[in-house]
Amino acid sequence: MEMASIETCAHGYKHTLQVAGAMCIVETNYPQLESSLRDWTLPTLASDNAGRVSMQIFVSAGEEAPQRAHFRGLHHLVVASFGHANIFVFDLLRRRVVARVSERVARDLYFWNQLVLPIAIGVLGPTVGVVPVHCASLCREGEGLLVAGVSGAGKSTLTAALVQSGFDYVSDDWTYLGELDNRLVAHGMSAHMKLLPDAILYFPELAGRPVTASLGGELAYVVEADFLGGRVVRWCVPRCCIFLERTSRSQSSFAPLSTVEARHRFQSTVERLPSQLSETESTRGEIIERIADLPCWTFSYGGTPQFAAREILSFVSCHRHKVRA
Amino acid sequence: MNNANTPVPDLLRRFIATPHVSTFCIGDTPVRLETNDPVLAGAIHNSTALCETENGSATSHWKLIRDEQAPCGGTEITVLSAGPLGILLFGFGTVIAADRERREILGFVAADLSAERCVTMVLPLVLELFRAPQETLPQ
Repeated sequence: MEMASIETCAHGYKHTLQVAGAMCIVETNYPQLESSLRDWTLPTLASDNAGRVSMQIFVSAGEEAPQRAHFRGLHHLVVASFGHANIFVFDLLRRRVVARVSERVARDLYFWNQLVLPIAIGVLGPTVGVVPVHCASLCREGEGLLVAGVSGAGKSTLTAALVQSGFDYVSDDWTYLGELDNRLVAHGMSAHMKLLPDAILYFPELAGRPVTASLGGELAYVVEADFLGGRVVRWCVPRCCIFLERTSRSQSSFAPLSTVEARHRFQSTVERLPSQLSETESTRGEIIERIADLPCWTFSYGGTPQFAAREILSFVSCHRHKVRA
Repeated sequence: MNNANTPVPDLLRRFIATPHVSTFCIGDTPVRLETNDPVLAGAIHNSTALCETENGSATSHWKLIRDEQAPCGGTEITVLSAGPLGILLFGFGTVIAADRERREILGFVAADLSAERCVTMVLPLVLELFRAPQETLPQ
């Protein structure tokens, strides 16, 4: 057994981030970390930590690469480890992250922007009124659209086709919903789009790109969200929600979905929280209530994603008066 | 807000059943231990300096999960300390946190850490963390 090393999170460098509508105060002993977080850094420091997430990142000497992620939670604590040298502990009661990472990981832009920050907001967001919801989010002419559906329903492929049709991209898998000025706001993390290998049948632009294992271990094309030429935006105001249902027939149909059913569908996708987090559970419930209050439809479709995108575009255009109400 | 009858994801394994419950004293502190591992429960209970509480009440709560899916390997120990939290990492898969403010010890024990080594080597370090004064970090 190697000797125990006692490390206390060191400080000296402080930054304020704004991530998916949540404010985060980052303290670290490593000045170069700012460079990895620059996409989210605000020009001025927050005056206090009230209502914000606090992150204390201890960077230790070493070049240990991140290993496959392992997540566990107990009571108010959640642990995300990426091998021994890279570990994050999330304290949901105190809205705090304590982490130790290697210098190599501290410099890794992809690690922070595509993994850690989305994970941090996913875990801690509900404690500050930002709720991660398993749905895609797009925007067209100022009107936000949420696209929900079980895994495999085709959210990401359809999102890519909708971007081809002129929608702006917010997110393709996880959307972070919160309130701003009493409006529901859907945030994305500018995360890469993950398209299953068969997406190349519909998007020849993927040719020549590698298929890689994503965080969950599944094989996918992990591509920049603007690879089809669309615009990436950080947030939108959602006006309606569509739940995808795949069928084997090459046709489509929309059916209205009640608030009760929409709420049930969203609730069934969010994680159980322990009794220690009843306040967080309550906050999350309020946001889900607001999402379920949007005009919601089921969309049953078969055929290509481009066909489905045209059908949605036509439907949304016809229902603008309703979704604006 | 969750409907209790609705199956919902437990991706973090927060709700693993911990049927092995015991109460004992460490020093003058009554402890309630919950775990899913009867061998670990037995090893802790049988270790020295432990004694039964009279009425089962406890002021310190421990929850230790034997995590068969945690990554194995490594023997390095690292301790992180921030405010009321002390966190001990052993190897690649064992993580135990001591929350001094809430008087809780919560952790996942990887399959490659035996109950005996956990009791003789890891838990004494966790107890040190538990008793250590808090760092003076901004709240």
